Formats: sequence, C-alpha cells, structure tokens
Amino acid sequence: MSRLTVKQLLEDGGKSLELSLVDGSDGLWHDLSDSRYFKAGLLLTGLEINKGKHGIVILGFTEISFLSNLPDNEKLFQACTTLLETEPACIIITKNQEIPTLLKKMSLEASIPLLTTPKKTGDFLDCLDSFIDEYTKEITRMHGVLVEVLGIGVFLTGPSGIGKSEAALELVTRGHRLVADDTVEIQKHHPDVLEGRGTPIIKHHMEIRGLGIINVPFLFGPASVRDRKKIEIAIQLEEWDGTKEYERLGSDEKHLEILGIKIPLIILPVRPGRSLGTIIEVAARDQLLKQRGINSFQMFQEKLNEALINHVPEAVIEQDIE
Amino acid sequence: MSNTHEKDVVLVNEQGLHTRPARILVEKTTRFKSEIEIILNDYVANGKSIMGLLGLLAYKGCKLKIRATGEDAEEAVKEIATLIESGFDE
Repeated sequence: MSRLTVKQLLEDGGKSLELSLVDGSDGLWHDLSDSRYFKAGLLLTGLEINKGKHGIVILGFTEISFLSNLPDNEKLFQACTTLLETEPACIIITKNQEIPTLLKKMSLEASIPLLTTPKKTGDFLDCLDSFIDEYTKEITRMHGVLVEVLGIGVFLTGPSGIGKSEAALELVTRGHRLVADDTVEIQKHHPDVLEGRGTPIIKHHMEIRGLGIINVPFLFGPASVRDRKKIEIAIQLEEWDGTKEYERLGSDEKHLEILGIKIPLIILPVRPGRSLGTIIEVAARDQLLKQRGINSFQMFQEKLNEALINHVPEAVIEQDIE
Repeated sequence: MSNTHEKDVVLVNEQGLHTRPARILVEKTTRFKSEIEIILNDYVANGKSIMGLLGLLAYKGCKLKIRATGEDAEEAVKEIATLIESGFDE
C-alpha cells in the first residue's frame, strides 16, 4: 500500500481534486493512509460527534456560512477550537469560499494545512473517494490463471506445467472467458472484494505446450476475454498423489487467503482421463448455488439423516425418486 | 524443510529478456526440481513459466533476483545466474 500524505493529495490530486494550498505548508507531511474525511457539520456547534483523529475535514457551504454568521469572535474562536482539537490532517474548503481570518490564523498556528477547491462539496467528495481508493489500494501478483465461468471468477493455481492454461483453454472453447493467463494482478477493494486482471503485454495470450504462444481474442473472438473480474473461488491443481486423501464429500471447506481476504479453495488432483474443464465448470455451478444459499452436501446430508432416523422403507424412497 | 537460495544478477542482453532468451531460460529452469522465481522489483515471475518471464518486461541493465527453493536450489541458482550473466550467447 502506498502512503498517502496531504502533499500527495495536493500534488497528485491534479485536475480531479483541483486543490490549492492556502496556508500551513508545515503540515503537508500529515499521513492520510488510515484516515477518512468528514464534513465538519455539527462539530462547529460544539457537538463532538466526529472524534476521528487526523481525518480530512471538509468545510462546505453550510459550514462556512455558519462560521461567517456567528455573532461574535468568541463564538467563532470556540467553533474553531473544537474543530482543531480533533487534530485534522488538513482542512479543505470547497467552492473557493472565503476563509474566516481567525480560522486561517489558528490553523496556521496548529500547523494544519488549509486547502481550497473550486468544486462543489458533493462532486469533490466523489472525486476524493476514488482518489483515496486508487492511492491506497493493495495489489499483489500471483502465478495462476483467472477465468470467468458462468459469471463466477475462478482463479486456477498450481505448479508450472500442471495444465492450468490447458484447463482455461478448454473452458474458453466452451464459451467461458479468459481474464489473465500466467500472472494475475490482484487488487483489494474495500471491504472484502478481490479483483484480478492480467499484466500488460502478456494478458490474453497463452502458452500452450506444443503449440506455443496463442492470442485468445484473435482465435476465439472478443467475447472470449475480459479485462478484470472479481475472484470468487480458487482451484488448486495438483499432481494426483495416491497416498493423499482428497475431498470426497464436499463437507470440508478450505480457503485461500489473498491480501487478508479468504476465498473458497478447492484442491483438484489432476489425472489422465479427468476432464478438468468439466470439473471446473461444475465447481463454478456449485459456487453459484452456494451464493444463493444452497449447499449440495448439506442438503444431501439432511435427506440421508432423515431417512436413517425414520427408517424410511425402500418402497417410499423409490417413489420419492419418481 | 525449505532450502532457499538467492542471487542478484544484471541482465546484459541488448534487447532485454525477449522470447529467445526466455525460452532458453525456461529450458534451464524446468530441469530443476526446485521452485524457481525470477524477481524484478516487486514483480515475482515463476521461473518455469515462459509467459511469466516475458511478463517481467525485463530490460537491458536491470537487476534480477533469482530465488530457488528446494533440494537442488543451490545448483539451480548458480547455473541460472551463469546463464543470465552470459547474455544467452547474444
């Protein structure tokens, strides 16, 4: 994650934030990485509801009107004191409004940068949100293939040469879509979404042993690929190991943790004669069911337990099937 | 028990790590049992994947870190370093 300071907000915000510094360059190093912004609002009346320290304080039209219409300097002093006691990282005034002289003086003394923008508060907050998100995003790169199967983002992992690309190619020929082959750039979106995409140049190309490098959208059409996709399940391909016990029931839920977010993990042993494409497609269908609250294993177990407890005679079970 | 070895090397190829050297590199890395990673800044590529290596977009003069984990890691790092430093005979 990149560190975000007031200086970066000012310099890199560029045309989207249109900020200019009025005063308080001493505080430009203030760290904004963990903070959010808030509108001063009722804080100015002395109600300390926004106690978040080191946040970005926004003074919009309402706030500035309130401050300029205060009857005397003492009241203004009180309002500014309460505001500055929250130790804001910086104060931003929207619509290029006139800043009360006392506030200017007090924030300068407290080394709190004062910034202005010509934007309206609403528009500015939208831009600020996306700017902070983009700046503080967490990214990692992982070896694997990302495909979209029936709308589900499936991340295939496993050692080189196990057949991830071949499995993805099989899925593409069935009408599913390739997002990234080999290296997947994974970005965390708040609060718990992982989004994957390919890396420049190599994305949408695949290396298939025996064929070489192929261009997927050229071979299968533009609908065979997409640029980014939310990752919903991970499937780890591995060499079939006769001594290892694989999942037989679907009762055990495993997870893969990426950037602190857990996604369901399926470990799939590879053996000649097993069509990986089919199994992965079924895994995606099962995930779709689970997302709608239907768990195949649990339903089966309930049916089985009921039959065992009630000693349902064979004839009734047969009828049930028909 | 993990046996990890690392070494930094400089890529000397005029045209960077393009397809030909990448292929030669993969032929070398896949001979080892160890897991091999080639790292450029924070970009970690699987050393046995040609697409991964090409995706590094490694240019002439850049510093690559070779990292191998496994039983033949030491030998792998040594041989791969020699190959990269030799410029793949270009």
